[in-house]
Amino acid sequence: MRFVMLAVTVSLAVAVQSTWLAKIDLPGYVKPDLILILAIAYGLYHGFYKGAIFGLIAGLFMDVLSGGIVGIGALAKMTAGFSAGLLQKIIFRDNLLVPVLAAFLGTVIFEAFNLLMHISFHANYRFDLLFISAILPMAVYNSLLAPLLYYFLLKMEKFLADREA
Amino acid sequence: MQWFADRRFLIIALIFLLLTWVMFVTSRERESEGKVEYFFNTAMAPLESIFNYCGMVLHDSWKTVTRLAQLKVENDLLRKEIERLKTRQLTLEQLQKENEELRQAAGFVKAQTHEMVAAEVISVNPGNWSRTLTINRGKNDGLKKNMAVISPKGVVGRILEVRDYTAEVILLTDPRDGNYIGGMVKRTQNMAIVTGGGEYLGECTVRPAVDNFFSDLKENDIIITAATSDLFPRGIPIGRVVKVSYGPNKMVAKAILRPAVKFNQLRTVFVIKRKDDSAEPFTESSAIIPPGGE
Repeated sequence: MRFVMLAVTVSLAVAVQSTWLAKIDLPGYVKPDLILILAIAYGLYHGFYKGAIFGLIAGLFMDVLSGGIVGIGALAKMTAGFSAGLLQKIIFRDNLLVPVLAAFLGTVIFEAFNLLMHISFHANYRFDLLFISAILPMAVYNSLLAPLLYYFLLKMEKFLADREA
Repeated sequence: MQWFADRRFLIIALIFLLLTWVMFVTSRERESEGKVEYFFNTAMAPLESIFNYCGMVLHDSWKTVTRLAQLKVENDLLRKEIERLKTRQLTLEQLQKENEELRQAAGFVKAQTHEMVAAEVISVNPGNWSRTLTINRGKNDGLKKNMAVISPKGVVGRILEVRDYTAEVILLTDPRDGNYIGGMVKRTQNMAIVTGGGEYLGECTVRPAVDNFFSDLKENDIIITAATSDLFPRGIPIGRVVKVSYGPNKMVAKAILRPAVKFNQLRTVFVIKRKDDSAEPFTESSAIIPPGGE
C-alpha cells in the first residue's frame, strides 16, 4: 500500500512539474523540483536509509522521463534524501520550518551538484551565472512549496499508520 | 367641595362658554400668541427637539439596517454576476487566443510547401537542466529521428526519440554536446553555428562556422537557418543576438542568442517530414522577433 501511494505521489508530482509548472513564467526560467522536495521530506521523516532509496528511485524515474543523461538526477536526489535523513534525529520533524530550510539548502547543494555533473558531461552551461540566475530562484520556489508537500507526506504517513494499526 | 357640587352645572356651562370664547379668539389670526401658549410652547420645544432627534436617529437606523440588508443581497448578487462575467471573460480570452493561434498555424501551414505534420505539445521535460518536450505524434505518423521541428515563430528543435504514438523533441536551447544547428546572420549572410546553452537558461550560443571570428556581428542581429542545413529549410528564424563577446583582436568570437520561440508557451509545433529546397525562404510576419525575445 505504501509503495503504491508513493508511486502515485511521485507520478503526479512529475506530471504536475512537466505540465502546469512548466507553463509558468517564473524568474530564472526554471520550475520547482517537486521530486527533490519529496526526497528531502521523505528523508526527514524516515531517516537516511529510506530517504536515500526514495531519492534514488524517484530520481531515476524522473531521469528516465527527462530524456537527458540518466543517473545525474538520481544520484543528486539519493544524496539529498540521505542527507536529509541524517538530520532526522537532531531536528523536530513536526515543525514546518524544518522542511523549508532543508529544501532551500538541499536545492542549493544538490542542484549545484546536478549542474556541475551536466557541465562535466560537456553541457554548454556557465556555473557561476546559473548558480545565481537559476539555482537560487529554484531554492526559493522549492522552499516555498516544501511545507505543502511535507504536510501532505505527514498526512499520508498518518493515514498509512492508522491503516496498519 | 359642596359649593362646587351644588354649582356643577353652572361650572360646566362656564367651561363651555370659556372654551367657546377661546375657540373664537384663537380661530382668528392674532398679532401674537397668548402668554400661556408662548410659555408651554417654549417649555416644550427642547423636549420635542430631543424626541424629534431620537426619532430621526431611530428612523434612520432602521432605514440603514433595512437598506444594508437589501444592499447585502444586492452585493451578493452582483458579486456572483462579476464572478460569472470574469469566468466568461477568461473563457472568451482563452478562446480568442486559441483562435488566433489556430489561424496563425493554418496560415503558416498553407504558406509552406514542405511536407509537415502538426503536433500538440503534451509535456515539457520535468527537469531544469535538459530542454526537451514531448509531442503527440510518433512512428505511426511517419516521424523519424532528427526531423526538424518548427513553429510559426521559428525553430523549435529536432526529433530526439520516436515512440509509436509520441516523440521527444530536443529544443534548440538544450545544452548537451552535439546539439547544434547551422545558421546564418540575416544582415551579413555570414555562416554561423548555433549551439544550445548560453549564459543563462533558455539561451543559445552563436559561433562562426568558418573562421574563428565574425567579420561583422552586432546585438539584435537575427540568425536564421542556413541553406546548407540538412534538416531545416532555409530562412527560418532561430533567434536574436542579445550579447556579443569579443576576442583579443576586438572581433566577435561568439554571441549569446535568445530564441525566437517562447518554448514554455508552445502548444502546436510542425514536424518537417520532407523539406522542399525549392521553397521560398520563410517569410512569416512572425519572423519579426521582439527585442526581448523569449
